[in-house]
This record gives sequence, C-alpha cells and structure tokens, in this order.
Amino acid sequence: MAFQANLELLPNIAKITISGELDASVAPAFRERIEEAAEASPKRLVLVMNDLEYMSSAGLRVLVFAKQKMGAGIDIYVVGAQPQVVEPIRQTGFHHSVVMLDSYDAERIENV
Amino acid sequence: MADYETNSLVFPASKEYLGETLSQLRQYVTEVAERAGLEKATMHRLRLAIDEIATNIIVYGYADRGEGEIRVTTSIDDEFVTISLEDTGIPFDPTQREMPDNFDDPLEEREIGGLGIYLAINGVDDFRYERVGECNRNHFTVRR
Repeated sequence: MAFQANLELLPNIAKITISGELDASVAPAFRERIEEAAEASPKRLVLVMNDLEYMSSAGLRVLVFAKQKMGAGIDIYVVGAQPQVVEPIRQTGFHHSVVMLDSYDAERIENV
Repeated sequence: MADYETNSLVFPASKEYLGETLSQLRQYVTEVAERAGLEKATMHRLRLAIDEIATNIIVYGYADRGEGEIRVTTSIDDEFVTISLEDTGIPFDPTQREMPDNFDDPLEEREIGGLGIYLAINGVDDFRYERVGECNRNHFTVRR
C-alpha cells in the first residue's frame, strides 16, 4: 500500500496519521508533514500508526528529526503501531523517548 | 546439506526508482518467506534487513555512477533461508560500520547514523559480508 501522511491540527495538538509502507523513498513526505506540524507550535505531536504496515530506519530518523524540530519538551505519542513497527522502535531504544499507546485514548491524548 | 531451492533475480538500483525497487524487494522477500514457511516476525525482520542494506546500496553504493543493479539470490534448505544481495557499487562492509550504542540517550540527542545497519545485522540469525572481485556480497540467513 502506498504511503500516506495526513496532518490534522487540533487545539494544542498536531496529529499525523501515517499509513502504508514507510521506507527511505517516502520518508521525505513524512518529514514535510512534521515540518508543517512544527510551524503550528503544538504542545503535543501525535502519530497515529494503526494502518502503517512497515517502517524502516528512515522512519526512525524522521522521529529524531521531529523531536529536534519540536523541542525536547514536546511529547511525541505513537499510537496503534503494529508489532512489526513497534519492534524497530524498541530495538533502537526510541520507546524511551516517545509515549507508546496501543490505541487512541482521546482523554489522555487530547487533554493538554 | 544440499539446497533444494536456489534462484536468482536482478533488480534495478537507481535513486530515481528507489521506491519501486524497495517495494519489489519487500514483495520478493515476503514470497520467499511464505514459501519457506517462516514465522511472521522472522519475515518482518528479514524484510527490514534487506530493505536497509538495499537502500544503502542504491543511495550510497551507486551514488557515483547514478545507477546499477542488485542481484538477489535465495537458497532454501531444510534448516535455513539465505538471501544474498550482490552489487558492484563502491566497496562497503556493513560489519565494519560503527554501531550506535547510545540507545538510552534522549531522542533529541541521538546520532542518526548506523541505525539501519544495526537493524539489518541484528534482525537475522547470521549476517555475512564478502568482497569478491568487484562485487559486494551481503548474505542474510534466518533459521526456518
């Protein structure tokens, strides 16, 4: 499935829903959405990954970029990631720096 | 032990068609994994490993001449599946690359180099590199 990244701006929150396969060829599109999100100066970045079927290290590098671009104080939530996406995040220790949620918990996520 | 299946295919390696080639390679690995009856998790790790090294070959290995080829050879025996990538790009031994070791550092302080190679080498049961003549050969082996 082709990669898609859609940005939605909620009060204080930037929510990006990514789907399909995230490899080095499409990572720049994800990075652009992050840049657009950062311009809105949100207090929280939420990445909804339920329909993300694949993520390589190119996706991990965009997560590092997001943290650097947004600032260390802005929490990044990773929501609904499938096991094959969670594994590289854990293997590289990225789960220490983002909040991993199994499903979209609106009360927790949107209460900023 | 005698191989009971070996086959070989050539994929184009050009930045222009990076997405198409990576997608075809992942599809290829999925089909091999299904034929060999690999567990889902093993299949995912093998796909990731091959995607990472193929990306390096296409983006860096052939950077000076813009395009080339990756020959992919698969052998399946009773115990193991081995997929090998062969290219004629600049010599590059992934096992000699310094591995990231800052896994506990906050994300904003992380070095981003070497993550793909780390995932590739650690995602399979055995990873081997050899330089043969003008060729780089990367061998990925998983237990069935």
